Amino acid sequence: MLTSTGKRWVLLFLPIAGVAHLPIHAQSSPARLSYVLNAAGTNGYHWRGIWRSRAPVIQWDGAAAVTVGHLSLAAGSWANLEPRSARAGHLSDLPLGTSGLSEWDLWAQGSARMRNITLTMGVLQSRYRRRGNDPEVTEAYGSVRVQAGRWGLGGTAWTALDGADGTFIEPAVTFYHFVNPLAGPALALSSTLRAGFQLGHRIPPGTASRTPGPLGTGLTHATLSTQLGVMHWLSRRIALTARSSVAVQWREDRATRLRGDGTRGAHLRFWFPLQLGLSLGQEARP
Amino acid sequence: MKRLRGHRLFIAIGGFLIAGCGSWHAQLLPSPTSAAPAATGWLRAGMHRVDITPPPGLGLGGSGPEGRRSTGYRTRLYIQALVLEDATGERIALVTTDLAHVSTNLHRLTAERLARSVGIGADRLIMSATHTHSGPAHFYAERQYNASVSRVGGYDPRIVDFLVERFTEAVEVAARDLQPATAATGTIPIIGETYNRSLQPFCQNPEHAGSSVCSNADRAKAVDSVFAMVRVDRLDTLTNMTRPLGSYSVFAIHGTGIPSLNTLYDGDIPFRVVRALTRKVDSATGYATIHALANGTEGDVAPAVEPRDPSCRPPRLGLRNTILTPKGQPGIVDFLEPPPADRRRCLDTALETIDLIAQHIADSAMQLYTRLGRRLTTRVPMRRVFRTAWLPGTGGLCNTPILGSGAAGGAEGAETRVRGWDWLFWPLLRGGIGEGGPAVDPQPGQCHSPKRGLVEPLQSKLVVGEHGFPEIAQFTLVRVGDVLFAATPGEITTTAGDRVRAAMRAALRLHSTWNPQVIAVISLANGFIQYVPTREEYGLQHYEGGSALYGPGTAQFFSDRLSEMVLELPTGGAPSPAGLVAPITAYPGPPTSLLPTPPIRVPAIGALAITLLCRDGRLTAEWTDLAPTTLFPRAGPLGRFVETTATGSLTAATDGDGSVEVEAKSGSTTAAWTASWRLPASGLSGEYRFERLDQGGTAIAVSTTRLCTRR
Repeated sequence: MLTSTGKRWVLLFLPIAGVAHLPIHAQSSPARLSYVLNAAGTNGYHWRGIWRSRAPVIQWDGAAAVTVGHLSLAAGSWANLEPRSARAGHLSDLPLGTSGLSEWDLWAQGSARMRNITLTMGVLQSRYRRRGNDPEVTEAYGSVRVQAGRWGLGGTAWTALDGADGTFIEPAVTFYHFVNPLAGPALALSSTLRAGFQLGHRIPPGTASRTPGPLGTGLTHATLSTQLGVMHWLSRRIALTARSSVAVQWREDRATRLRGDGTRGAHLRFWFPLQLGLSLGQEARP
Repeated sequence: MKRLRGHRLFIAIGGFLIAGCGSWHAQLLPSPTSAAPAATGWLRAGMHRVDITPPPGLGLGGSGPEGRRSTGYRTRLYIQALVLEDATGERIALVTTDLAHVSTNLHRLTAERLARSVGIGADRLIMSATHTHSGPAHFYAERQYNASVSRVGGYDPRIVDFLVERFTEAVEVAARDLQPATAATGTIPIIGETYNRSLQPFCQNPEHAGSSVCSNADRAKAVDSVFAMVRVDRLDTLTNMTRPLGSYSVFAIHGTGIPSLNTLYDGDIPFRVVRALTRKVDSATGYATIHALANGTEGDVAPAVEPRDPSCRPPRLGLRNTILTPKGQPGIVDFLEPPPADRRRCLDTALETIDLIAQHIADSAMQLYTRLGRRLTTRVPMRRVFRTAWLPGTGGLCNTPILGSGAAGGAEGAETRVRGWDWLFWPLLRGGIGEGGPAVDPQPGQCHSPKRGLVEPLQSKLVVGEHGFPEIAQFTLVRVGDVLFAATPGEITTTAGDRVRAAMRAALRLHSTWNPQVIAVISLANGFIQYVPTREEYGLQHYEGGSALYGPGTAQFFSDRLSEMVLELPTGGAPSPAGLVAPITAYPGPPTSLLPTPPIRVPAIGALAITLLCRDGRLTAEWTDLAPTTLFPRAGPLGRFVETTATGSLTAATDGDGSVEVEAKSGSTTAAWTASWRLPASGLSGEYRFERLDQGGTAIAVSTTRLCTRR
């Protein structure tokens, strides 16, 4: 008899297993190692209906993957740093008056690719520096990404394993206005419409803050963003990546630190993330 | 004070001009004229062939941004030169080469050397390309071509030198070997090996309206099917005996039998036709002969390889294989190459098909060659007319060259990755990337109407700029016996070619009693100005119409110029008067270094260890050897696969013959080499070894023998 958590794992694993058994010639290709290291700056950090910081933050992302044919296994970490001292208005994860690392996450995932479909399944553990205020949250996630011509369709489902409840779903549709067909850097200009729904979802934002965190079922946010991504190869296997976007977000705060009384509110906000990174093991464009 | 101002103005203007020339990199090209003919009383001929296969690493020209960087070669690339001189001393060099195009700088720089050495100037030199899309680029006289005929952009003057040296050698050796000869000219129809890839524009021409070809969509008959040949034999003046020397032929076929995802130098179908014809003639006569195949009115004529295997699709949008992190930014979407297995299947299918097409064309060519053997004569009068024409704004052409958005999607059967993108930068910029439809933009009063310029006005103002596209065209008319060759720098469509020939015949009737058996229009000769469709074809803005740089009047311009030149064709017994070769300027853009350089010191490589593998019916030899820049160019083969039989050994395949794929990944002084050969038929099985050969054809290293089977 499977537990509910076990059932979730099975459901997430099924599509990956299905794709893994499709006859694909690339399966016989040798294992390939790749690495990414990214640093991003943005004017705030908002995660599934919870303000993690209203002040500018720096986020970094490091991962390694081994790919055999169309299957890959990857693990990495993600961190959020607040360069400015936290104040009450920042709704920061840091204790007031402090700065630096506020969150660091560890994750591991498996992916399968078949032509224009990418399926991913993994586990993410989010840890916060302000222990006692924010619990560790462990979630399993599964995502699908389909590229159909100039349209990219995708969605991710997150289900809590520990430290939270319920499921969070984030579908997205992207249109590529331009992708560089010529030689030189990979360059894509695209617009994405992304929405967030929660199904009985709750992530307590902290025992000390007296607020229950986002709660219940329904739309949490919708974002329309236009982004420019560039990948420029420094050598045959090392690429510099840069991304920037302008986003307008409608957000329904289902009870967050923004409102101590837990009432709802809708907001519009502009995002201006700028990301720079290094990617190793990424084959240069022919 | 006034003088000082004038001085400053002069400096300012001079500085501006120097800066301008710097950005254009203007190069005044030589204007070499030929030496005066000296009669010998004999028809004389000489032929020579030169290998021009460069080291890997250069961009493959012809497929635009779909043309990949070369990693090796499947066939060697050659120049074939025929030098003919009639009894009055009228001397002509007819040269073909396994390149996508020939540029004006290659033509003029070669002519400059030849004028000095063998008296052949630009006015007696016809250099044309077979139009293989798997030869090197980077040699053009125009900046935009150097930037965009291949995925690898750039102009390398060393490639110009490399090619000019070899063109010169080919013609010089042929000219110095001029000996009494006999010749015959004739034609044979070849139907079914080519088809019209732009039937809708073809049927838009009033001469085809209601024809059975159009009503039945019979693409195979909507082409110029005439294969024209000059057969040349050596004549022993003492015994009056002849022996075969070779031939020069013209046939309309696009050099696109091999899909653009290919990464190896390859002469495509023309190479294989020439190889098959050479083998047939050599085998039938016992003499080593040389054959050359120039391209005809091939603008809308593709080899009959359609429909292509679905695995030959161009790169599609997909997620790059970056690590998609759960909280990081989304991955990069890019054009992804087809999987290696698809690429292999695509190439194998294409190679089998083009071998068959080439074999069929060579069969017909051999029939013609044999037939001409009975009509050989020493009475082959030759005459020529040469002209350099300025293009912008003259004779009905538009002032500014513009590429249409219909061209960016590629031709039918050679589609690019962006074909079908009606909007580039949606919703900001209309693209119309694809044939017809949104590529048509009627703008009454505009010279280029109804062409929608690709990303205009950015194209003409920012991307191409001044002198980015060709501004001159060189035309040559050559009479050889009963054939009139019209060498032009355009890719003329079937119907435009028909009209050009009709106009020339009409002019000829006014001028002379001579009625040529055939007017063979040679495309891609002495320069390259892209496509020449009829006005009606242009109106639909398919690939060919979108690629007519100077607008709808291009075919008429060609007709007018060639008809005028017909009137200048000498009719008397005297040779052609000295030709006027107008000075022209090349604007190739900034020089860059693309041709790999040989190492300063050749390392001692020691004994070569060759590993031989068999997988899926394909044998692959791997070894470490000297770098390609040290081993190439070379006259003989680099290696061969040898089958062990009960009675001994048999050469199964040799590199450079089209069946062995040789690749080299270079280090600083050595390279990792692979030679790969697919057993030619299913069910074939045998024991094979690979031999690395020296320049003399002796094995200097041998792999172990391996059993291999193709299922």
